[in-house]
Amino acid sequence: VHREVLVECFYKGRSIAEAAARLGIPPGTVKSRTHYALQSLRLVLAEMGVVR
Amino acid sequence: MKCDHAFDDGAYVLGALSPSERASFERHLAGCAACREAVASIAVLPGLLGRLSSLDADTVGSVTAEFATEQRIPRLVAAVTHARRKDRARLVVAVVVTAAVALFAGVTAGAGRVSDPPPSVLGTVSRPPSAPAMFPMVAQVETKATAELAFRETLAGTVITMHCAYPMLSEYHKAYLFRLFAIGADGQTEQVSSWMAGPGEEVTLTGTVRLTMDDLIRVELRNREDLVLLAYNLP
Repeated sequence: VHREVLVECFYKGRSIAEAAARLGIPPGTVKSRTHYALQSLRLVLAEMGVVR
Repeated sequence: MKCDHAFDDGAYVLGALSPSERASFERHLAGCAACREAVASIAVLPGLLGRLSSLDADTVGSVTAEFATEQRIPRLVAAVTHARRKDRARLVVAVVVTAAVALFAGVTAGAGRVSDPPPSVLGTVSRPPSAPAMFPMVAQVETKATAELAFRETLAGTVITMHCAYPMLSEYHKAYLFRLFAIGADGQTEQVSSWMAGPGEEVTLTGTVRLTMDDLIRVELRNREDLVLLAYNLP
């Protein structure tokens, strides 16, 4: 679920509104998922000592 | 960080906010330390994710190349990534690949699993692990296709290797004809290859043209109607 918003917004370069329309979810949900997706990626990287 | 903009940080660093939302969020950032901190903590991630494409173009190539041309990453991220020391960045890249593999294992959007690349659908030659530098072709019209080229001069002429990706689209499923042409300094045009490809497919092919690297000025990827979709001008 968190992967797909990253794929849409980052790898495909879509805006929040475009991603929401494509995924069939509200724009606010796309935002919160990008928020949690990046937070969890940051945590994984922080555990590996890559970022603070 | 309980504020109305608490979830905007991710979309902001991905460059996915609309211009008005971005302006509004940037005004908010000026007065909200929690959001500034949240943005700072994830600002480096798009830059690192973006580097995956140059390291492993076969697995995430088509979509990242498409993204790179849009350059939607905010200046903030560029500033942060540029500030990082190069040797550290290299280490970071190596580790972020591992982390992203863990996080993205099973990604389905036509990118395939990083650890288990899908077999090339129409590929005639698979790219060797130590592939020579590939040069991206530039879109001449609005197209979803992306391609990159490598050149090697031989006694017979120039060997052109092309890797082309066509992203998965929900709207179409048909395969289309594509042709690659090499154009010489005196205007002579040689067809390098032709192939059929549809959404979600990647093609790698190699052809030889008798033109030498010095004679070769331009490579064009054209569609069935001879419209130039992508082109690369040799330096």
